[in-house]
Amino acid sequence: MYLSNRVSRVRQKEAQQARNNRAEIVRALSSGQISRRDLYRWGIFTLAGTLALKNGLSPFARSAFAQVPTGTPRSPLYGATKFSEPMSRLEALDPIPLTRTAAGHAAFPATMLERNAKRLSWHTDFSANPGNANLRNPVTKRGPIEGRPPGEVFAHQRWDEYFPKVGYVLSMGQCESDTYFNHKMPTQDSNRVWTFGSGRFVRGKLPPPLIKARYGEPILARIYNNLPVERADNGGFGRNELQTHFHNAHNGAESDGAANVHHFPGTFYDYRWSTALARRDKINKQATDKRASAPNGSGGLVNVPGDFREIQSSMWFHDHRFFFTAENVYKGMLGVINMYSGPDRGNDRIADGVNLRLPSGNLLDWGNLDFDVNLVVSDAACDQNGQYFFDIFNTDGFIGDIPLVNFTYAPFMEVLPRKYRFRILNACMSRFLKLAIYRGGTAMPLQVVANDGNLLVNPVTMTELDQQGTAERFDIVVDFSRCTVGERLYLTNLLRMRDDGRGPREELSRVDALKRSAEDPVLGPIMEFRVVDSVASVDVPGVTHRAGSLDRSIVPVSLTEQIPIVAPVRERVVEFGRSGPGDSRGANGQCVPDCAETATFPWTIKVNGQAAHSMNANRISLLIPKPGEIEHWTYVNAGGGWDHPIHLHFEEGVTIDRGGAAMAPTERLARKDVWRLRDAGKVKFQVQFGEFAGAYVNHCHNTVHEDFAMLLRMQILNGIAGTPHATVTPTPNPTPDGVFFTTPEILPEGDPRQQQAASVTPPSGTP
Amino acid sequence: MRPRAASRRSRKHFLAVIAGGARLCLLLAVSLLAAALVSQNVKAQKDGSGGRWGEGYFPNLAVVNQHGKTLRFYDDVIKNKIVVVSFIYTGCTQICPLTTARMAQIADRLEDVLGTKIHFVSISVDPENDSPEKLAAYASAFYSGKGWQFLTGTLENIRAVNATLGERMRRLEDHRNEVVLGNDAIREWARNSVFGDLDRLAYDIRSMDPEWRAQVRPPLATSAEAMDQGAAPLVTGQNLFIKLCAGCHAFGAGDRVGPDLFDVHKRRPHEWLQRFIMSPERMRARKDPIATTLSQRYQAVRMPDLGLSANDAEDLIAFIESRSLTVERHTRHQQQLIGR
Repeated sequence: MYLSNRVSRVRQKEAQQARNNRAEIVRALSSGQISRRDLYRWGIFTLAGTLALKNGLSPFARSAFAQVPTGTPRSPLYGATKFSEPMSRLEALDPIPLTRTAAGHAAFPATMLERNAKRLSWHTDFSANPGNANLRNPVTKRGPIEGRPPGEVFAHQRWDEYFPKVGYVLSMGQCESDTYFNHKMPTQDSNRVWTFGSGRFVRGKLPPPLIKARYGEPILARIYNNLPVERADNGGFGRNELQTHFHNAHNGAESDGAANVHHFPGTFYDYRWSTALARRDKINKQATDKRASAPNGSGGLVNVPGDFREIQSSMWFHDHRFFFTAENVYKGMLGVINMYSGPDRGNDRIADGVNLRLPSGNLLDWGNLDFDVNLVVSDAACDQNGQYFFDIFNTDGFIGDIPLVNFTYAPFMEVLPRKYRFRILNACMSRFLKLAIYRGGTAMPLQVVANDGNLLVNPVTMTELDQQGTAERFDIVVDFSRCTVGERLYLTNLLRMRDDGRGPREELSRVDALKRSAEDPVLGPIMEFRVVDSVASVDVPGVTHRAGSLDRSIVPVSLTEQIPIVAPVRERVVEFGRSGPGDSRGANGQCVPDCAETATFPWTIKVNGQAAHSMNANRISLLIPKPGEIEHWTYVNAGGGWDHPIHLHFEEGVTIDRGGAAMAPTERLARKDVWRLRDAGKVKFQVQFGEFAGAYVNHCHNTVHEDFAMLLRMQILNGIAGTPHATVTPTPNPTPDGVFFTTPEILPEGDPRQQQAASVTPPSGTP
Repeated sequence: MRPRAASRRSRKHFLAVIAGGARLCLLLAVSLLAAALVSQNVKAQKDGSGGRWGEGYFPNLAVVNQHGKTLRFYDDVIKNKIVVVSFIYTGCTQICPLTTARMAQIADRLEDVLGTKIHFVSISVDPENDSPEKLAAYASAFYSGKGWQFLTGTLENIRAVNATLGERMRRLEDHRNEVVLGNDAIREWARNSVFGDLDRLAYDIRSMDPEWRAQVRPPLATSAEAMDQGAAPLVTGQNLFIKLCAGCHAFGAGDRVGPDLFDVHKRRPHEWLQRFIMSPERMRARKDPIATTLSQRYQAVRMPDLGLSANDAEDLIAFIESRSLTVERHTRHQQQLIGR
């Protein structure tokens, strides 16, 4: 959280200098340069002999100028102005073709000198033969070469069925030396920004990478950790240990990147991103529905088994290191994945009755990006040297004062007067957004086509998007065709956050947002669209698109079909952030007559109406006994001024209601993977689990809260006897020398099996 | 972000500008002082963390430990040390005693380094009520060894100290229940939780020492195969007991923070046990005679409300019975051995 300009220039100086001053006074005292008497005279020493917390001595002292005891001074901009830097497009990575060896491994092209990817981790080989230097971490000379835990539990599930066809080799590394947010701002020190680079043991490069994936073409993502070996070399925040989570893709837990399996500098982790279409084991098993399909690269389609209503589009991946997720994702550990399918193909020309022809361009068979643009919106803060900053001691919510789109400070983008699709990701740590695009004083109609990467049944036209919590995605279509060349339009944020970062405070009008942008620069316009008469193609370099050329894209009135809401097998209620009305003790320090409910537990869980509670952290809170059972879940926010965007891993839920409260049309019955609970609000959705199993999580995606233990472990069993996922997965514990396992504890309330047993247990014991 | 053009101001130059600017802005009283001192800004970029979270970040304010000794928070508590910090208040009827009990279990695991390499610090969030004497009584209920300080002080000092550590609660019951791990010597700070696996946390705490981290210690080679068939879940009541009760209660080994639970199901009515496990605070408030007696006997720490359901309580009572039986058998067996 920063201190805004308007609130107090003086206060900012205080915060900036307080730490230095305090340290200097203490040093001066101890070296005899000044006496306590001097300090009394100056009025900065109390009678008890302690330094008073006054202006200029503590960044957290309340002063006449600051209501909120946060601590970060305003980020310096070095004269950079908004809309002075072109927005970087995300660069699509080239897929690497993989081949299958006789032993069933996936082989990279020989020239790359990459070892094969295997169903079992290389850690398995290492554990069997720890003396073999070829299996050891080449950088630290200790521990296994691969961070994926050994043995069957972390073997890739359904390896042959979803055998990887393409590969990507990425490294998480220190940023390149020319990394900056705007050309007037300083380049970032190598340990301030850590992000992905393409290749083995390379440095990181902003903006983050884009992977174009399609159903039926499973991916092997080999991610190297190229960060400094000494973990204190982190520029003040971030941990050099990775686990990469492909946010809500349909993957086995071993590839979900959130199973407590981080890996260390020098090692890699092979994630197999299955690209499986959900409900593959239940619906359209014979792959006869051509809507469940993917582009074949030459105008046709390849059918895949699964439910076409569960097709996903705009996805992302990010670090999920427990206790460090906020620091690491903020630091740049993220990338974007566009999933392509028969209906959502990234080609706006092919008319075969399946392709929706949403705006994208058509120079390529699929995955055109010319008019289909990823916008990664985030907020940053910098210290007084212009270096990227994060307050690791903040547990409310970290709010930055520099708006970034694709990691450029409030950039501009040139557009043609035609239809565009924008895939907007809120990649802030704690800030919620409410976005609109203004042409002068008029809001442009925005056609929302997807929520969290799930196609809406019918597009919804809005002039302001619904609030967008962290990790939420909106896909929108904007038609600039009525704009004239030379016009400028502004992507504008209308949502004012609470000063403490716990949640949104109020929605503003365009004019008020503009006014308040002086105090919070992430309010008001954060990006400029410049309507021009020609743009260069990013899909086929050398081609120029011109204004007036035919726009073949359409936005059909129907995009997919509704998944009906049915009677559930069971209902679960998860209450987050339960907290009482005040101190439970009366004036005499006793509870009279009863103690108030003042639990401080991060969350509680009830299954089928039974009261129960769960403790914290490393245990299983929710147990899914077998695949395919439809459940209704209700997330409840206990309130207290907080708002939590809650993220369910692995499966999406169909949003049913908000307990009678109003819902945006883009949310009603929409499939989602992150829900804003609202202050004291609740949301109910229908969900089922299938195809893969293992230990997943369920947590608040205000990553600052997530690291504050608002994270539940969820265990999905596959119901197949004799397989490791028929029973509870042991908890892996990574160390630099290899992984060891511990047995997780199962609390009864999350386990429907236990509950049935408990209800028939007769009372025991002698009264 | 885009590639930068070749020519730009040198980094050294603008650092100098910043340092100069900061000095100009000092408040009057302090600026007189500061003029005589060497600016600390130059040091800032030396270590990997940018020098951010060390001296100058943590206040060096006076705090008082459970023995009544006044300490400087940075110089005496943090400086060049590896610390595990928790936030507590002795009047807490909820989760805090459990945090401290779990900390005590970790203290047992770190006996060899506690007080030398690693230091535990529990800071009151209620300094107005938590006197050093109260803290001493509270502390002694959990732990009697070295290396664990309980701190209080003036409200403003404690607030300032806690704020730097991320404890910025508005209400007592909102306070942080996680722990903060720090190694000031290398400016490294991290969050963790005492409610996870205790061995894992002990490992994470030892890992705060770069020397310890540098030592190779391979995990047992057999663990992978052993886990291939999936872990066998423990008995439910046992899980709950380990997680929630074992920090304070033993079987047949005598009182710890709370009473020994051997055969407690024979001493107390079943229904009473269930109610007390579920909501001890309510029973104390209603002046239940047994609960009142217990409060008097175990004054320092009261049994906390753990929010357990009736099923949870039944599971725990069942576990207490079976555990008592095991202990009894074991004891009888020992006596037979001696008798023979």
